[in-house]
Amino acid sequence: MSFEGLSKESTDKRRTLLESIYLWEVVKGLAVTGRHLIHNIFHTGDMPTMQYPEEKRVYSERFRGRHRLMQREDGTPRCVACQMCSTYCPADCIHITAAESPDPAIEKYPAIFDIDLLRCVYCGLCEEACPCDAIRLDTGIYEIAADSREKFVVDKEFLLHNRTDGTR
Amino acid sequence: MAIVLESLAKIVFMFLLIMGMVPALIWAERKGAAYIQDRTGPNRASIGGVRLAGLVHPIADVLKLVFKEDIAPTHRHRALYALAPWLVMTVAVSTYAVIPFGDYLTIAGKRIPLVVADLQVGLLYVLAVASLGTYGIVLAGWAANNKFTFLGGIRATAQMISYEINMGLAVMGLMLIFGSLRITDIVAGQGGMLFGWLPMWGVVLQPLGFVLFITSVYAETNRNPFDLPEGESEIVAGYHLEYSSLKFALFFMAEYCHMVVGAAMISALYFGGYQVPWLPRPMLEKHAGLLLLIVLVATIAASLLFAVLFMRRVARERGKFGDARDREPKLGAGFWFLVAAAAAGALALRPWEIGPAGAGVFASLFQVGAFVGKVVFFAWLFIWVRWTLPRFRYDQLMRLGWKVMLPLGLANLVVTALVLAAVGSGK
Amino acid sequence: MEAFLFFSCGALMLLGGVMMVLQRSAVVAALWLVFAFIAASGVFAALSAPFLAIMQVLVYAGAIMVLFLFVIMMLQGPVLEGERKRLALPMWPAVAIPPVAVLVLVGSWLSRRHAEALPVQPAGFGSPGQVADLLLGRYLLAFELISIVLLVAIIGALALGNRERKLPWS
Repeated sequence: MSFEGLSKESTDKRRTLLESIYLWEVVKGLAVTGRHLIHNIFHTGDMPTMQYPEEKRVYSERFRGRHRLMQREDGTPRCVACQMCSTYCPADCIHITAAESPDPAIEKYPAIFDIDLLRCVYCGLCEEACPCDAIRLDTGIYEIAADSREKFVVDKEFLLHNRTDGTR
Repeated sequence: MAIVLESLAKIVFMFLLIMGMVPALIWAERKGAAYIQDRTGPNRASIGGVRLAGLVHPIADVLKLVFKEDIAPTHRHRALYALAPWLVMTVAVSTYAVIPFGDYLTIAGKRIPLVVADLQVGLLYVLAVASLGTYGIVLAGWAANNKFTFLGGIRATAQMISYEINMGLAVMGLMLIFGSLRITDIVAGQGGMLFGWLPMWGVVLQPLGFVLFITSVYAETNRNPFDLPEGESEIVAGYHLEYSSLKFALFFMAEYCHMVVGAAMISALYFGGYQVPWLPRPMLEKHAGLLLLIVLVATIAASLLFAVLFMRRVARERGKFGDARDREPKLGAGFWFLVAAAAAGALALRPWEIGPAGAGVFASLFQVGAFVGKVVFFAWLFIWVRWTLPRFRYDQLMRLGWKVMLPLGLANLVVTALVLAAVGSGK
Repeated sequence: MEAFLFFSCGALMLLGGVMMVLQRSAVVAALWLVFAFIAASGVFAALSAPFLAIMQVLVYAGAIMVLFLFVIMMLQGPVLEGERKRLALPMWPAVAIPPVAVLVLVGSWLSRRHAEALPVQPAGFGSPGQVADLLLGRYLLAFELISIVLLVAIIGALALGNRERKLPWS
């Protein structure tokens, strides 16, 4: 239903007699709310409320959800621990410790790659900064919950196995 | 001894009526608010999957409040802090003593008036008890020793005093017309007909008085648009800010008890109380059989309708939740089919051949039902108004009370007195 | 029954009065006064004057004392209690009930002895109609004079309390 009570006209015009008695306006207001009530009783399906755990809102493809680290074909992280993302991060939520890679073709790999999900503002700048497309926020997961602050700091293993379908 | 038992039975009935209405009103408040605002409202709490459209939530609420920790400010006035919620609740409940919920009930040749205490000055008793209600709120505000609760208490005193006067003036018009302060007299006086077709209800005789009265009742119960003592946008939660657990529950319950009192007063004084319009008591007794038949058939029709609605959900929501809640439509349909079957079974007892004694009892119960129906409607009106109107500003509240309603109330009183003197019908 | 009510309410009224005087906090004192008023209303009820009984509560307890309380609270503000050791809450009934019980017992003893002291009033005594007849009939002059005195008092209070502000007649 639309907002039928609102008009674009200025509201500081002089009140008419009927409006200053106020009672008639009360009745009109009751009619508006009563109409909504009756409509909603008989058209429960029209309400925008979602029964959340059972029903879930479909977000846009571009929605930035929980992060994931991309893997190479052999399963190692694509990340080369260049620190670009953690430097760029406005919330300072990425912590990387680099280590020398055993593969001679690759210089470094992240020994530790932690993200504090409570600090993260989901701005996506790390995605932009990454030169090897190693970090993405495309999982679409928005149900980020835990029962202690420590559990919100997720590590490399967690991020590597974050999948777009929400399974780990 | 018999009279004690009789009074006790009436007190218990009245108390159960109020206490039964409180959770129902809490439910109506939440669900009504939600539907008015295009939301679904509470529908999660369930007992074995049965959610009763959110009616289980008040039970969950009570459990929560009972088991919550009772947190109290350290620098409170201990005695008064503990006393205040009880005072509020006591006052809220004790008003019911003088409100007649029916005319009389004849059991075994004994005529029992359906009112707990038929006071000669019942109308004034209501005003007096309502005025004592201020103390609970003020003390709660003061004893908690918090700026916001204190402001709430101060607001409550000024508001209550201002609107009590208007309330008194409004009902004085009724007193002039019916020539009595006894509420049973006033209700009985509203059984007649004006011009032979219009029910002689207070609202017809005193339309302005009714408007003034209902406004004052809204102010006295601290309900929106007059809930300034709570005013959560300005003073957090007002007078009950520092209360938690069961003490808060008492305030919460008292608010709804006040609502039921207000609704009962409005219906008793201005809407004929237990009087059924166009169906005076003798008519009710004469056509008891027919009316009983109509009631039963209506029950069957309504419960079949509900059952069909539930059946529709059975097909539509099969396995929607994947837990106990999926059983609910089937249970609901079954329940309403059972009700319909029970009513049909009652129909088989040939209720239209009801005897004169049964007819009397039926007439009494019908009138009690009419009263309860009116109370429920006006209680709902409280909720409806709350979710429609914005809150008054404090200066607006005072201006309305003293500069608009007080002169109107006085004018109403004078005009009523003049008209009565001219007609010469003031008893 | 009336005698019992009369004497026990009278005793409670005395208790209220004494407690009011003994309080240190003005708010608590005001509440004891309210208690005394309600007991006084019980006395009126026992003397078969229901109208006066209700009016006592409505006017004194319900209106005047609320205003008093309003003023006291405005001036005194939220009050802190000292660090004085206080009784635990569940102890309160234990402390409060014995004196009340004693008072009620004294009342019942007195009522046993002075049951005949209360006059039996004719029907309709103390009804609103009768009070109105007296006030607006026999004692009309006194009644109106008192209201004029009250009006003068109100205007006087306004004039005295508003020294700085120019009043229309000054």
